[in-house]
Amino acid sequence: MIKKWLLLMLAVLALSLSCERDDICATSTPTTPQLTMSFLDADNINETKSLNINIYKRDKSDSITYTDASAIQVPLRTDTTATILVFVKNPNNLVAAENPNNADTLIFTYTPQETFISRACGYKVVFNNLSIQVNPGSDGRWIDDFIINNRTIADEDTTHVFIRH
Amino acid sequence: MKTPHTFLFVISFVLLGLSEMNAQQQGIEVEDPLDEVSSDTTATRTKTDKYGLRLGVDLSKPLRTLLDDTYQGFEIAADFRIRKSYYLAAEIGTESKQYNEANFDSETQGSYIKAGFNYNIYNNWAGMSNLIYVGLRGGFSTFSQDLNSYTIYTTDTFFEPDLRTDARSYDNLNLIWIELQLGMQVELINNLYLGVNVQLKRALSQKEPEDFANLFAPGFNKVTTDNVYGAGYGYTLSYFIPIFKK
Repeated sequence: MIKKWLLLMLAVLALSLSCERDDICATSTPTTPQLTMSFLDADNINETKSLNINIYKRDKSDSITYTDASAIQVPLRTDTTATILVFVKNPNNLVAAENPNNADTLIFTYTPQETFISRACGYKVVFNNLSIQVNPGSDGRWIDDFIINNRTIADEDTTHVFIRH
Repeated sequence: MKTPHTFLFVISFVLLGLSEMNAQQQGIEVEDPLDEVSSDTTATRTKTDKYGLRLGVDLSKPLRTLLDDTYQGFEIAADFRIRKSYYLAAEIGTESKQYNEANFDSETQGSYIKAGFNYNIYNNWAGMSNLIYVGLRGGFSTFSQDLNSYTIYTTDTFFEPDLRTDARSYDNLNLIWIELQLGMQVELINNLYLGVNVQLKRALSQKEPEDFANLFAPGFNKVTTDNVYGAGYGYTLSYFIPIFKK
């Protein structure tokens, strides 16, 4: 009879240990947000205007490609207060009707703020006090103007920056 | 017949608390016909009951210390018989646990005390003093947590992972919980007992760091984000010091 109890307890023990949930960061959890940008027509601010765009690191070692996009997401560096990215409109298309393979360098400066999310996800960074500087480079500017809609990048639900071209 | 029903009630309660094991519960009912227990209830009246202090160590914690590189622990357990079926019971211990997770590396260390009582539901034969008990405890754990390094969580891999190694320490953290125990104590040889128990815990309150979370609490075990329940177990080897007989 005692032996039966011993077995029962081992069974309960095994079950209680297997009850632990796996701590995997759910994709629905908001983590470090990316900067969301929308493209507007330079002639008509109420109209979106999509484009082909490549975003390069300054040393061109890596890039993100968007094709016929009216809204994009741009990652920002969490370990420093500035991210420098080269935005190329109509990349590698030298016969485009406007701005063929035109590069503008954008300097995003901000105050990163670290926040604890959860055991599974760890820490995220949100970006405060965003400001942007545009360097058109030798090939002239393709970005006619930009509007910072939200200087605090805490989520990806709204457009933070509008670009007119 | 009363006793098996008490057993089943307790088992059911624990199993329901652990919440996913209906099949197990049915299995127990089938394989445990304890009808013969009722036949010797008259004999128990005449036996002499030993009262005293049982003092022991939890063997599972030093064993886990040997087997698990991220864990260290030690616990002393004691109980004192106050009534025929009631024992005052307490445990005191110290534990530390490291977590090398994907996003951070941390270590928790501290100590705890648990106090409450055990109720023996086992009808011993004359001269025997084994226990099958249900126990209730209040637990208090005080601990500190070190965050050695962490990586900022991002969903993109465009930039290098942002690993931060500025270590931080959080002191004076605590956790208070209540605990239901189901266990047994079997007398191996004269006054030497081997015990085994399972523990279901529910956190009542905790003091957390502001920019971090309690990952582990000594005595309570793993703390999860949106779950107040914890579980544990113990294997005790203890010595019973008889003080008087009734």
